[in-house]
Amino acid sequence: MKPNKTRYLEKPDTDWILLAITLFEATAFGMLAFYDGFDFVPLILAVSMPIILVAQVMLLGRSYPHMDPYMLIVANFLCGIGLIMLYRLNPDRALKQLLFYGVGVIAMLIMTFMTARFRHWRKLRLLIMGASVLMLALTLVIGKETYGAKNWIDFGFFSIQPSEFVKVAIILCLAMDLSEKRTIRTLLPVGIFAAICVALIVLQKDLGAVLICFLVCLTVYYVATSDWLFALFGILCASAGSVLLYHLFDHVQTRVAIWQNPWLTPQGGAYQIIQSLIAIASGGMVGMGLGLGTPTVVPVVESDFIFAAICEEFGIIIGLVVLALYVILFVRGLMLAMRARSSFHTLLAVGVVASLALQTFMIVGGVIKMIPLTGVTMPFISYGGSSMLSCMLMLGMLQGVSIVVGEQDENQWRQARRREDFLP
Amino acid sequence: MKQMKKNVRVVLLIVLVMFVTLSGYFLYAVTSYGARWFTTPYNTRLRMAKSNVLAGDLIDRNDMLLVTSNADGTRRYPTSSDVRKAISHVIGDTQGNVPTGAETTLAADLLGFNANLVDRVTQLFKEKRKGADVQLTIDATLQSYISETFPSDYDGAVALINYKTGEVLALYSKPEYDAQNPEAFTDQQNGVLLNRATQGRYAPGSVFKIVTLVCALENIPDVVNRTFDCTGTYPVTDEVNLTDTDGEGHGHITLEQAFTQSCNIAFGQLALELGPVKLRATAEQMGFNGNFLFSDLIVYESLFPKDAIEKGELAWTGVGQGRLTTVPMHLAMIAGAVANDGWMVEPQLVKSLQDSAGGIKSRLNTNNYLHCLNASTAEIVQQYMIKTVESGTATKAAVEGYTIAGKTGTAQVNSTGGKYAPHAWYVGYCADEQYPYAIAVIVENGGSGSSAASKIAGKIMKKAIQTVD
Repeated sequence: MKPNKTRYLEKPDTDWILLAITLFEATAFGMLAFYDGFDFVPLILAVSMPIILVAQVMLLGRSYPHMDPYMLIVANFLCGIGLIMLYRLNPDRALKQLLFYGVGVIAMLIMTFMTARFRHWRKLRLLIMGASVLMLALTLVIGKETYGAKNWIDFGFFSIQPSEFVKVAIILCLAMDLSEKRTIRTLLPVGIFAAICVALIVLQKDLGAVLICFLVCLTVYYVATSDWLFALFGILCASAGSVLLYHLFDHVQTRVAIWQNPWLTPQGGAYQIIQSLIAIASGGMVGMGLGLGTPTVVPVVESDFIFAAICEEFGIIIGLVVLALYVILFVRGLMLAMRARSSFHTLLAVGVVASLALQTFMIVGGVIKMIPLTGVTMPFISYGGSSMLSCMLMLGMLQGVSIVVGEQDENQWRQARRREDFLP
Repeated sequence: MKQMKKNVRVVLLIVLVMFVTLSGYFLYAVTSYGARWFTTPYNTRLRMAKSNVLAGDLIDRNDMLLVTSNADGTRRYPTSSDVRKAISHVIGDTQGNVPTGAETTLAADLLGFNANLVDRVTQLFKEKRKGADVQLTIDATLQSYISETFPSDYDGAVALINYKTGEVLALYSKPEYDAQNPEAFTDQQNGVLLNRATQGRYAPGSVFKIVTLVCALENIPDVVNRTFDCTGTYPVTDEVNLTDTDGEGHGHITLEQAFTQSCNIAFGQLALELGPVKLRATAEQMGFNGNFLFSDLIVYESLFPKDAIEKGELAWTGVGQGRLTTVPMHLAMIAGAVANDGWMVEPQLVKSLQDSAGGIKSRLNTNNYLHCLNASTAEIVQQYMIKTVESGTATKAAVEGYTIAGKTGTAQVNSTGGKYAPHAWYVGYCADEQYPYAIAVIVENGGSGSSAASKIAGKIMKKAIQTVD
């Protein structure tokens, strides 16, 4: 995408990537169609998944030539891998996830537009903050407890996990307020807001989300102010807080104990992690083959432990490729942050990447027993509507920033060219 | 903005470091622990695989059939109950009751999970798949002989390895059980199902003096010319006295005599002089506290205390008491390392694999596992150990016509009550080029090492020299 003399933007050549992904998805769903007798639903998916992807690339690319096709493709491909795996594990859930994915794509498009064109975010600030706190408070009152954390609101026919959306809100508010002139007075509201949110999530005992929110705040604050002393202080606080929470909450102690030696309770508390390790080891480097493994013995394999299922059936090499895909997404996001001309856009991109990167690191690290397990989802891949939606919103933010940055760059280029033309 | 860009670069760097670490750890974990995770008894895949895969056979190094599959998938063992019992712990069982048996740890091969791609694809079209046959390095005849020779009233373990190639020739644990008797697995008293040769953790007693000697030779200049005065006891602190087993005292002795006669006083003093840090460093260099990650078999780690050791305990640690624990297999490997000029080779249990198509693939592959001691140090230790068998405490381990080197040990158990007789140890090797065998024998509560353990070690070594090819 290097500017040349006559046209600012070469059309990025993504055709072969799209073709490869189409082939991958078509083959995988095609195989699933014949997995256990004949089933026509995967064939519909085999056709519709590539169409959804190509449509996004074309639609967005046509209306906004400065959107980043690579981030879009990577995120959608991750969703595709997730759907393939989910359909193999639990077809009903895969169909629900397809719905979430569709809604997510729409949300992403809206967010892209809003980030690129909407000029009145600041007016919505209080509304966003209020809604976030309200949702979290509501969760505490009428929330539903799963796996030791009370972080779901059940609306009967569907349930949401507010902390997923609050993450997005925090990133947005932080980027807004830290990009202004920074005085105690302007920073106090967002500081209080973030503190309240983190405190409420602590009360929900959703410690994975707490860690992500806290570290995202710290990262964005550091990038905005270069105040590494404060960042260091924050990390010390986080460590102290972790120790405190460890002593306060039983389920944290259990998780740490399981991480230290899962083989003490292989049939009890550590059943999940041990089954996950066994699943990964069974697949080996090249995997058992789609549908030929037994990943369903791992509890919650559709959401938190989907990485184990991917490794078992697609192989460890593909597991590493998935990690590489995430890294591509993150690196492009951060490069975007470096190119941005307004600090709001830089901070927005940094916040989004920090959040997604931490989440990916925490869940994959937990699944392979590198760090204690924190029940967070794997971005774009895991089953879950709230998670899919919030990830898509964040992708939309990145696309919005990409459009703004690209247009600014192009304008500057045009001005420079005009000057060149004018001078002999 | 410029500053912000720099900060974003820092974030980028952190993200990259995080994910490189994650991927690196992931690869490290699956390559070094993957096989173990897979073969745990908690792997339901193995149990499920048995319904459509016929497990392969296990055969010994001389092609004697040890386990085979009936047409219905159940396992059939040798008809002779003596053989069955003699090999019981090495083989283990398909249910994982003996978690370190070959049936469990080699399940991936036996059930065809490690088959190559071509084999896997052809197997897809067969009604009932068959796993690979696995030839072990074990010599079942030798194993039966050990079972006969081992003193009938005692429990214990024997490990015999080829210290040049790492092949495990015998792994024997007593009490035995009979795999054909289904009740064998429900009666778990006295740790019947434990393979004491690889999982039993015992105080090493005087065989640990090999380690103390190595540490002294490598850290104290001119220690070989040192002499000691032994009166049978030595006050270390006000409370702790170092004593010799016989209590008489060895008199004025050289270092060599102190080793061959197993003088506690001399080695306690050496340990005090060396200090806990150096002693621990040498022990760890020889494999203590290390997590043994062998590809064919699971060996529990030997432990040297990691926290502070006070003076009294240190003196006793130098002579193999205190909080030290060792696994018989590890001690055989240490003796092997002394014999092999300082190199400890990785033990191997699998000789070859024969896949269902009939292709035989050798799996023997000698790996140096640890460099335990310098060749020059090893030479001195070899000389001392040979002397111990010639004229020291281990004369009963001698095999006529061959150069045998060894060290005996008497490990006190339950030192406060004093109810139990000490464990008898013998650790040694054959120095002849053609018969590079190292052995560790423990007879639980067998009394003083010089009689119980070294006697059978000599017999077993003789049998190994005669029969193993």
